[in-house]
Amino acid sequence: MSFDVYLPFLASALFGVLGSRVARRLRPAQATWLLTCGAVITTLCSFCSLLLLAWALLARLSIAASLGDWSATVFRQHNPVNVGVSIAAIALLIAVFTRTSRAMWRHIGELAMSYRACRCLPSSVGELVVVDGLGFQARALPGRPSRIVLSKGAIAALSVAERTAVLAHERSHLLHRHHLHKLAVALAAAANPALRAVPSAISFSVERWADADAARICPPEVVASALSRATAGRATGARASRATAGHRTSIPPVVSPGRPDSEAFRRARALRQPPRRRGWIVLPLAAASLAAVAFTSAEAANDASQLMRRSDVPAVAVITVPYALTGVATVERRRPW
Amino acid sequence: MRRRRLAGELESVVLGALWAAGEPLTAAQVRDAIDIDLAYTTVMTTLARLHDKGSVRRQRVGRAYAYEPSAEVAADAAQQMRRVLDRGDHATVLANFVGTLDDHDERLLSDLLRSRRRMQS
Repeated sequence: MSFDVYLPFLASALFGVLGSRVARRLRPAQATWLLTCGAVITTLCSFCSLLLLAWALLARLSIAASLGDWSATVFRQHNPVNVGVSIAAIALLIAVFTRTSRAMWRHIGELAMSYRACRCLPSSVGELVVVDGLGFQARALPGRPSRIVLSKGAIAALSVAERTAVLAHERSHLLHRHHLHKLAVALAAAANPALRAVPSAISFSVERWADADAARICPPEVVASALSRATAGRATGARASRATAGHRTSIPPVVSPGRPDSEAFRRARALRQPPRRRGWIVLPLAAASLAAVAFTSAEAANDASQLMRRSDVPAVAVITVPYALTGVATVERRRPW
Repeated sequence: MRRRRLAGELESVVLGALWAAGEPLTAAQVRDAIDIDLAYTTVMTTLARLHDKGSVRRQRVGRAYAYEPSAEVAADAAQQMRRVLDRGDHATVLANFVGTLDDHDERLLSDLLRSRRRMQS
């Protein structure tokens, strides 16, 4: 339990740095699954490590030992974990708990809102819901059944082919349940600050996934031009909503989608040159490393349980304890004198 | 390879075309207004299904029906959606077609639009 218990933290840090870089080079579906599984596994293992470290402090205390059946003294002799580390682990656990519960409240609330909105719609409303608004709104709302929301501004801004592309894009989000991937990663990142960069990476990779699905129905250039229209529409929409008397009816011209490092630009670039297929090398490697992390975590837990067994109070003592409390009279009677 | 289309998918495409047109369309016009190659009967069936549901209204034009999105249904639905959309701009779990657009992006794009318009005029 000296080294293996800390490995998940190292793995989280590595994954936080490398995960999004590796994901960028993979095809979107692979990237999404890699990010989700990696974030969830490293976070769960780190959480287990924190629990083990915190437990190492509790087991030292004589009060806790007297409730269970182990000897605090023996445990203290064999325990490799420093008290300071254990205290830090407990502080971190409290922080993790508050952060995660806050994130859960927020993100699950978002999804619940979407489900509620979908459920409240009358049956006459099909998959596509058109809302007022000159700005560009195109959203996939998960629910039962799920809906796609387009604003009138978006419909006016898009050509026929682009509209089909946007519908296919949003449908891909719903079909592959991208919101669940994003939810899992958002919660993992809330619990594990090392994964700060992963939520934006996963949102980029699910968008790429949906773009690729849309590009299967219509040419990639159409998807890219829909993207730039959306970007332009969002900008003008934001401006129109800020200006009180904003009456825009003209279709905004197609502009290049944003600055070179903006999300829309990177998506357009990914559409133009899809990543090379290196999944066969990277994915097994990533799966093996994640399995190794999970295995090490299990090993740490096993070490802990062995440590516990070693500091178990011997069975004789366990049996004699009740006697010491209740059987004093019996022992008296057996005295030969 | 031909992909099987879901019924909801066609309905959305057809309804999208009706919204974009802004005026009642006959089935033949709808067929021309979408870029997916569909049989006339498929368009007819889809429109009939939308009408049965109450999503679209129809009126007789000559020998055919012209369809348009039902305004009351749309207004109802839009109101239901408003709350989600208003809060949804800051949502992290719900997807938006163009997700993040920060101030820099917006300024850059509006500059582009402006210079473009000046060039056109």
